[in-house]
Amino acid sequence: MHSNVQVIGVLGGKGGTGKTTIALSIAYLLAKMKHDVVYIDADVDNPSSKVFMEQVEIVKELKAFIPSIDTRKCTGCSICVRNCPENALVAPPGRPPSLIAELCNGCTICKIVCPHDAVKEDYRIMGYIWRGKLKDLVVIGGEIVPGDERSPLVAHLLIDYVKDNVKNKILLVDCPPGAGSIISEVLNISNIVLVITEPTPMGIHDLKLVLDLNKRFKRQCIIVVNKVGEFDGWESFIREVWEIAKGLPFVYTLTMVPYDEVVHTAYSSGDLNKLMDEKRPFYRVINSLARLVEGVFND
Amino acid sequence: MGREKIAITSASQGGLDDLVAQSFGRCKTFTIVELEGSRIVKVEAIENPAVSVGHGAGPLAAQTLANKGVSKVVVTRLGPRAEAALRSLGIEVVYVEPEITVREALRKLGVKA
Amino acid sequence: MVSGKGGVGKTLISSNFSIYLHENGFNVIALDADLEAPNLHLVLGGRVVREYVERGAKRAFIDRDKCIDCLACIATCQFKAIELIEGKPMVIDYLCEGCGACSLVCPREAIVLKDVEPGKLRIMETDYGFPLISGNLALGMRHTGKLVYRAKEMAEGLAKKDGVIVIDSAPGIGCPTIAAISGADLGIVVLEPSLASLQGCERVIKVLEHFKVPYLVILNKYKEEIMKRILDLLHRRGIKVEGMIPYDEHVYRAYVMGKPVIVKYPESPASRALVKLFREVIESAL
Repeated sequence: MHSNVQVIGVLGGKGGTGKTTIALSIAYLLAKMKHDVVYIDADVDNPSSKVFMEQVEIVKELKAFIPSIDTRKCTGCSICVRNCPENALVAPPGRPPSLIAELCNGCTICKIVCPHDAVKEDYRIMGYIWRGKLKDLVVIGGEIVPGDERSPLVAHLLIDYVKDNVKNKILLVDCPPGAGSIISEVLNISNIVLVITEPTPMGIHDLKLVLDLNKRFKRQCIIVVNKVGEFDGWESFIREVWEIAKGLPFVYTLTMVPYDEVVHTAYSSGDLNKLMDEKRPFYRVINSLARLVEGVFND
Repeated sequence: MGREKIAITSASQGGLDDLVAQSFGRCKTFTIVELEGSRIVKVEAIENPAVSVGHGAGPLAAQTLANKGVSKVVVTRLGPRAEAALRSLGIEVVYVEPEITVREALRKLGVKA
Repeated sequence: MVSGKGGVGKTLISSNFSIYLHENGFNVIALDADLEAPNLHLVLGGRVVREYVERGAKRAFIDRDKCIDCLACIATCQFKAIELIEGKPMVIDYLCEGCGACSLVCPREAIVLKDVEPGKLRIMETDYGFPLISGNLALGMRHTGKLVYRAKEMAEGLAKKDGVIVIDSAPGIGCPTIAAISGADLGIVVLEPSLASLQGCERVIKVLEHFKVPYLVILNKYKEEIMKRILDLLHRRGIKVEGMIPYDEHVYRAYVMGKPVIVKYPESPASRALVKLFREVIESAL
């Protein structure tokens, strides 16, 4: 990223821990505090932030190469078929090939190896970049076309688009669950990350994976344990998280967000007003988190 | 009365007494019978090279059969990619219920097996 | 079990369904297809019987001695996996698809494709007398789906003629989910009462329909107060719910103990609903 852009990555490993709830709330508050912030939804399989907005506009179609065979030049040699790493081309022996479009990963090898210049460029749409607004907050996200297998590429193109087109000072990037390449990508571009977990065995298991992955990228982490108090016995989980965190040099701090039925319902129904009800403890905690993040940037 | 090659998905070693396999793209073997009319003149079992690939098993299996000159394939089910590949290759598809032998499947096609 | 959105209850359903099937005499193999963050072994218990280091993912490597910095590789790579770092092309490992296009265009043959490890697979013995295939994707790497296909192959080897393979899929609709769905006999879409989950549900249904996999939708973690509103919304969106599991603290308590809820709290509301659902699925689908 440009040197004057600060990126806050929000990740978590386990799904359903509240990444989007917390990320969106913090971004919304930062925007309200008049910071120059944009929320980026990189969960391209299922961009949850969309449900908070009435509508979004598509700002870019993500086009991927697919081959188009020039049958006048094709000699039926099948060299492209044999070299396609995805088995996306089939050809009756001696005849021109046909493409199974959904298997094509766009690598262009068929075009590279064709000795007769018979492979022309065509394209198909594998995803979109969209843009919306949540009151004062601008939201930009990606979305893959269901059935396409290139989620990491779509997420990468979203990040490229943001690098080229978004001039805001603070980017808050919401990740999908898991510990795969999209998480690596976001860790790579982040200045600081919020690692969202929950006080359950699975939350802790997946937290360890993400912190492990971060050993490569060494980003400063704020561990956020969400939904604290939903069930009894959460204290022992906090202790466990603390044990994991205290040995790691890049964990900046650990914080807790209380479980709130009303907040949960607000998230479920996509109700921003209810989510950001100033009277609730959730709001106060998010406010502190936003100020904490602000403080880290000012250092 | 021309010669025709029919492939049948097979669950283990292939051959007329093997069971028809449940998958096309990832079946272990293809039993390929060469017919003259309704008479079998040759039976061959080939390993399916697609059995361990990532995606694209269906099209790879289909291409393998096309390269062997197969004009018809007997399956119990077919995924969308395999279906598209077989259609592009001009290979006819015949569906049979699962849990029958290759021999029984061929008899349903009118082959003297 | 698929979902679109994470954290809605796929592991809950897969773990308990495996146990229920096993208790009712089926030859069950459980398969954790969420290899970025596998959780099924936390509920079923898993003693590793055998571990396989998978090979067969490919990645490009640039030989710095042969490279002349012509940057043809960068121009060719469709995955943005080669970046210019201090004037030199470098492969970004977690973006490299391993297709080999760069190596074909390199004028100095400076790029080779090498086998790298996509991850590990493990055959495990659960605490309940049936096997679990699990594993780990190499941390932070691209998931090619190949690991899931390989896990399915192993499961089919164990299933032989009459097995039932219960697959706990990854969240989302990407590569690993598609690998889990392809060739399945039944998809169970797990939905929770949230708009984000509903959006995910609709997206995963598109994939199921494309692969012609019959499916049914289960609503998990529902609460009485919002039931009517949720069911109305689902009805308007054309989604038919075939089973419902209530929000139940016993699920959490069972997780804390590392046990499936139908074993630990068989009389709880969630367990009753789960067992009813499983019975219906067995009758109609198996």
